[in-house]
Amino acid sequence: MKRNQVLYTLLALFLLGFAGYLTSRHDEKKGGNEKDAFQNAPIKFPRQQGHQPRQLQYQIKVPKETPGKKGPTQRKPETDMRAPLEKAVNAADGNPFLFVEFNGLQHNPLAEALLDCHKDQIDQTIKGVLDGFGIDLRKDVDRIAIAPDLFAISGFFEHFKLPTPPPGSASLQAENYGAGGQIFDLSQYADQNSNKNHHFAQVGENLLLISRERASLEQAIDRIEGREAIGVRPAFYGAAGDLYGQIAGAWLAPLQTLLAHNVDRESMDPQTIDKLLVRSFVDDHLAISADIQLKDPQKTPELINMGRGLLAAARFDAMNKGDKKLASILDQVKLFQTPKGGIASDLALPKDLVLEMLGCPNSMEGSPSPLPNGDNAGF
Amino acid sequence: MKVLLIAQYILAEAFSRRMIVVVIGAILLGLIGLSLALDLEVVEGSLAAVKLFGKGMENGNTRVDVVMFHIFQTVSLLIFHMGVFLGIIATGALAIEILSAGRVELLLSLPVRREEIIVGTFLGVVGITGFGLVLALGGFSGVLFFKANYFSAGPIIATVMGLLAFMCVYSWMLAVSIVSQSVPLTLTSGFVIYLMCNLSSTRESIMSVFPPGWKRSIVDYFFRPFPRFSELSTWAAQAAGGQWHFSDCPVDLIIGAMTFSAAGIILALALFSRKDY
Repeated sequence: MKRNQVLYTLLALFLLGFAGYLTSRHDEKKGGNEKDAFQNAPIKFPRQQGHQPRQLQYQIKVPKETPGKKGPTQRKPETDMRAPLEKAVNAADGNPFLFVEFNGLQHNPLAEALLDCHKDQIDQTIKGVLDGFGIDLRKDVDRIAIAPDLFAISGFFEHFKLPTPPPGSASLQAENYGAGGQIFDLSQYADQNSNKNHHFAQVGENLLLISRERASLEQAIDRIEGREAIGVRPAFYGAAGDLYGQIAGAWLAPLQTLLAHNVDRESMDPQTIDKLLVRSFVDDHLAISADIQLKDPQKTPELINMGRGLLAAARFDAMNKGDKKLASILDQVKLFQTPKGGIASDLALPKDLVLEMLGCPNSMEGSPSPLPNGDNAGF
Repeated sequence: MKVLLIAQYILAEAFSRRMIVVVIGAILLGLIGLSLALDLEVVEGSLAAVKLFGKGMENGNTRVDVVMFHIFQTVSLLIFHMGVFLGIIATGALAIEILSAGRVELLLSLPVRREEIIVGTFLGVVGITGFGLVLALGGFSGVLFFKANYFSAGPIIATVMGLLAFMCVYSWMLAVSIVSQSVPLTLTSGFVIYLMCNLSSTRESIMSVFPPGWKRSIVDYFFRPFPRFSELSTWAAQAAGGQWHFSDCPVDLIIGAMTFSAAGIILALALFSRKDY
């Protein structure tokens, strides 16, 4: 008799679970396009994935030595070919910088859709760069780093060539700088409307630097060659995703404005945020992990509460508008306090939304998802 | 076979109780009254036009099939929900009566297994409700046939779905009645399950008021097994109105409802087998 009880109870539980499965399956069928894989599958954020470098399409060759160039300070060859790029943009004054894993980034669903969307324009750019500089953007570029007044590209530049000067102009003259740098003055190519000259530098065969200011190039080369101090390395430094970096200073202005837009302007200190460390993975969606450092850590709990409130309001709003996709995305946003008193946040943007933001509205299926702006999402 | 004998015993017991007869009579009279009160002027007018001129009215904006669609939809929804609702009231005390002290010992002394008693009781009660629903359906269809010369098998789907919904509710009522031996508790459980089954269609809206995480997951998993009465009745109403498509048939929901009902019966069996009579 007792055996029967256990058997019946287990059978009842199993049947109940099966009934739940069937109704869920019905919901999924009914949901159709509204419920895609992105909505059902939990998003993995860069924070959870740790430091997983992208599998590069082309293996980077590490130069044993910079050939034929002996500078004033003899330095050991870099064992990590990727370090010079990081050093080039990371100044000691804590300036902002952003890395783009250009090579790895090309080979994922979101980037492929974006490349397809802007195919004509991109093909034209690729052809222009290949003809002008001998660099195939699809194959030769490994990483790109962006900093204020500095643009750095690492990759394979064996076929790099100097652009042909305009008729009547003198050919470009390289000026050696430091142990392995060559600086070129591109003033003759400068836009006539611009009051600044353009310069670029080549450091070995694997790094190109572009800037409007010659001084910026010199400082970058000094940092690479160890003559100038570099900034504090963020914990996630080096292959921390597809797009990652440190947002500070002037680059924070849009975020500060967005924050101030959602709260009482009178009571909001426009300089609340000190620094923002971001990492993101691009796949079928853009998953972003951000660590926000505040100028006043005491404001952290309040700001977290505010952020959560805005997210909850946005989620309700999305639900009311029937935008289940956006509601699902907002559900997965995480906002919590770090042990050091900062704010950690994980959020994701679906492929359709990113493409729409980047000017590919035709890729949207069904009704467009509203942008997470102040009107409906609050952040 | 013994199961059917038990079911027959339950039916005899039910009809010996005046309340069941009163409730079934109420269902019948209510639906016949509704049918008589229906606005069938468009249908009658069209029929008259056919008799007089050989073709229906073509100058009106409202077509006969549209009117009939709305009538069948309304009646199907009423059959579904009123059937379940009144079924709960009418049969709430039956199992407790049968399984009360003295009578259950008598049943157990007979050469029947406990499983047969439970399944037989369930089938008997379902048979009573099915009888009531068929009476209501027959009454409605008969009135419509005599009044509008129109017959449709559409509402049969609503009747079957209504009976399925009642099975879902009653299987769990049976389990509660075995544990509690209390009519108010059994009736309350029936109404709560009926409510939950209706609310389960709005599971997503309910979940949205809970923050993401374990709290929402609990709500989510709590509501999942409950059959979606709202969707079943809507589909049945649409089918009754002539919008029948096999592709629209919520097979998962129907099998899910049957499984939910089976889970309730099995639980009732588990509870009944642990009782020491």
